Amino acid sequence: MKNHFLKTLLFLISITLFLSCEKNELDEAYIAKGAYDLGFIVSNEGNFGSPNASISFISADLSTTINEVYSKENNAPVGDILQSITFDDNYAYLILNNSNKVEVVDKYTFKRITTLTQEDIELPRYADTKDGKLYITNARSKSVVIYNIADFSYETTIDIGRAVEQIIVEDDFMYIQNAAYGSGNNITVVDLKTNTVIKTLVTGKGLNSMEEEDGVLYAMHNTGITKIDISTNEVIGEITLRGSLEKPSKLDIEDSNIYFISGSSIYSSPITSTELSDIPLVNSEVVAESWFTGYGFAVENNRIFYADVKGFSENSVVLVYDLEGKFLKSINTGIGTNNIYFND
Amino acid sequence: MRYIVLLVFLFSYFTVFSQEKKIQTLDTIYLKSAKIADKSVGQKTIVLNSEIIQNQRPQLTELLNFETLIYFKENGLGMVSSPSFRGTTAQQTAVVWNGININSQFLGQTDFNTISTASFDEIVVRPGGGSTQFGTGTIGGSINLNNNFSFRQKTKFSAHANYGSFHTKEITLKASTSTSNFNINGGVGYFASDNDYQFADSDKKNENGGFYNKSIFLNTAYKFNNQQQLKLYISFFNGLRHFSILETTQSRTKYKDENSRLMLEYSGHFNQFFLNTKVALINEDYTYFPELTTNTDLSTGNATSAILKNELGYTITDDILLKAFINYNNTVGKGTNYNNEERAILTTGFYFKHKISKKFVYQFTLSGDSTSDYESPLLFTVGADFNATPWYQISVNSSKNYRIPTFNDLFWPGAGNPNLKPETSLQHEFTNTLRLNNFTVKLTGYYNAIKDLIIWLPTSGSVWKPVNTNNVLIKGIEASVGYHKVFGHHTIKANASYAYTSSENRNTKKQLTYVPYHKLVGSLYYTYKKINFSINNNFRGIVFTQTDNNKKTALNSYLLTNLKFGLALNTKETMQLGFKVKNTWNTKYQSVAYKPMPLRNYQIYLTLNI
Repeated sequence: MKNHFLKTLLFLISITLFLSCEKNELDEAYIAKGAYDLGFIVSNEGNFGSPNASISFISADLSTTINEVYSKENNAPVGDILQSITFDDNYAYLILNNSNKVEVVDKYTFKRITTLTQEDIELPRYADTKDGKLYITNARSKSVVIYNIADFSYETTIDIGRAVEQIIVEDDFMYIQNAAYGSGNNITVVDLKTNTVIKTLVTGKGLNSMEEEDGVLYAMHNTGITKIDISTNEVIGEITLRGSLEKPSKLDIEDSNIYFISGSSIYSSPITSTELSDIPLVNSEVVAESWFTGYGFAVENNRIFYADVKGFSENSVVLVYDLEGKFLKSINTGIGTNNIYFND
Repeated sequence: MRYIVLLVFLFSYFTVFSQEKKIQTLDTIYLKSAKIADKSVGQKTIVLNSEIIQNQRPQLTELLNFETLIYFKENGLGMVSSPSFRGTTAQQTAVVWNGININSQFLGQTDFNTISTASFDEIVVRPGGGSTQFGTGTIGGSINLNNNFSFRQKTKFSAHANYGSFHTKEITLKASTSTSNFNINGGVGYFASDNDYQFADSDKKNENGGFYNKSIFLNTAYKFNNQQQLKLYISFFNGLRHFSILETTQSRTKYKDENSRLMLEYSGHFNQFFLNTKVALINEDYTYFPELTTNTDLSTGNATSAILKNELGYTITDDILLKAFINYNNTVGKGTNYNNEERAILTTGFYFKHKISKKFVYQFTLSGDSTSDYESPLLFTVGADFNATPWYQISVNSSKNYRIPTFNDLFWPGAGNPNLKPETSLQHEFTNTLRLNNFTVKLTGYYNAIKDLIIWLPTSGSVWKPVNTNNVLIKGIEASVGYHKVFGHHTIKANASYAYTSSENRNTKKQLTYVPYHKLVGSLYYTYKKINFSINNNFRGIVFTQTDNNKKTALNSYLLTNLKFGLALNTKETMQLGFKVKNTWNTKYQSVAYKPMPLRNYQIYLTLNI
């Protein structure tokens, strides 16, 4: 999900790397398309049952932060539990779990375009886009709802009949994670031409996240990563855990490196590894009462983000590191920061 | 303007009826089901009689919100409601039904909108610790729901009907009769509302907020002779609530509560000995429907407790009383998230009371549990009352109290933590009472140190686990003034109470969320011949909704005022017609963040007493 827009970013990433101290030259090289272009978009899911989900914007150089982006731009609360955000070339899709809706906004201005509320959108979780279509997984209806992005018309619903979480639509297939909250070890494969389930893949137990990179689907679970070739839909290998490493989660692949967390520590291993390293890149060293466990974790644009959600009882603090694990900054965001994306 | 009205009300009338026990004028013999005041040496008790109870909605929330200093967090009118009593958490207030603690075994708290006040003759509120007497959660205080019996009374029948805004309907029927050694009383209550109130500054209404509930009670007492009595209490509550939503697209859910309670109580005096035995069966049952119209993916919970409470007393002299008690509680929890979890607790203790002189009385209680589920601390209560003069009394009380982990804390699949310790509280209070003519003035200071608060926090992955983490220090002041006067055909009863509460997380030095620094209530009841009038005020200061005391998300203070006018329709005054105005100032307010409460609304009622 994050990877395919990142792929297009290599040029910009290299610019920011060189120019992180000299913002002016970046402005000359590229004219921002809106207030929220070229920066990090933070999704703060909010408290369940309260309309206090929010979006924060952090500038690429981390110097400025704008909280409550959606309500500032649209004069309305965004909704109840912002589970995830999906981007395409023009829009950001805000998946609002307990509001049973998807808010579509201009991704550069965050002005609302429309709201998707088809009745099968029941406790939506994640989404992906491909070839002008939006695919949304729904926990209650256990289905994937498909919209046509050109006119935001509802197309169809595919019943999966079991837990659905993250979704990756790539080439001819969609891959749906049938595992949530630490249990489950399957991925459903749906053929995009017929919208029918063609296969169920088996991974290790406790499947928690997945990402596609260079034709391989990486599925992270309690005992490692299962690798799947997406041209054949066959399991082609397993990356195991080294030494003391336990229950890795929040897989994020960036620049041929696999990043993940276990407890309060952040780890990385080359994508070619056969074992995941048990030596932390950095330990966020949480104070005891805040139980800092990386509810939100992301590696974007050469920055590592680790969110302390403070038990959802106050605004989160996001800790930012560089790729070597050097601490750069802590930034106050909203309630329950669950992910960080780079907007370009 | 409205604050001026409040001030005028407070200081010109300055009038308050004592929240002390109302003097019974009927020449019948009353047997109080729980002699709470007797065992509350060093503490205050606030008695709400049936007249006050009937003045409010038949849900415990509104009554206590307007009559006491307890603050209620209500998720929208009639929805889930939890208390903050003397700066404590929702699980640190004990709700006690005729002497039995009925807090939920799953949640450790009572939803105050699932208690129908129509089922009780009096409600006694006692601020402060009392775990030696009422068990777990008696830290902020206890709410005692009592049924009383009288012998040789006339046969009575009463009917009360109320109709108001948002199609709110209430009907209560009650009857009682007795002989010289037998009493039976019972009743039924029905309360329902569409609850579709308009939100302020918006074209939105409270959606999916409707509810109804039914309650039945039946109590009997039989007196073998002047020494021995047998009592039977039966109580049943069934309620269905739709949980209100803020966005039309949200899932419409509902929740069903069913509570049944049965208790047999025997008491006997044999010379200097006294025996009291209670055998009770308490059942709580909930079902959560994630969709209104289908019965799929339900969440259910059902807990049955068998309770035995035995008390053996020995009157050493007329002024010295010694008691030993032994209680047994066995609870089995079933449901979608509980696999026949069972917990047995044996509690033993001693109680000693000594009246040294007419001026000085003290008591102490010591108790402890034995159970395999948690490490049990030794609990105590020590209290003394000193009547310095006939018009001035000093009361002191210290106690150690606890809240034990709930079924959810211990057994929730994948998250329950079997290593939890109980929360404990050590507290001290000091009360001055001044009685002058028709006035009663009370001033109380208290201190409460709470350790090992159980809080659910996210741990590895997205799993939340309960842990003993926080320590809280609460310091507070309570002041109340009461006035009661009858002259000619006029009767005035009035009361005003104020609380300052500092409840600080010792780790962060921040005020606990949803604990107001300031709360003030004031009421006036006035009767002249066939006319009666009452006004009830409830002022709540600012509350924080986030643990960092973020001012942006704090809830602003508000003043709520309810008015009532009643008129007897016949000379015998057995029929009364009345009119109520709720939220007179049309205040826009929330008691829980993002959950709007109703603006001004109205009710009419008709009461028949024969």
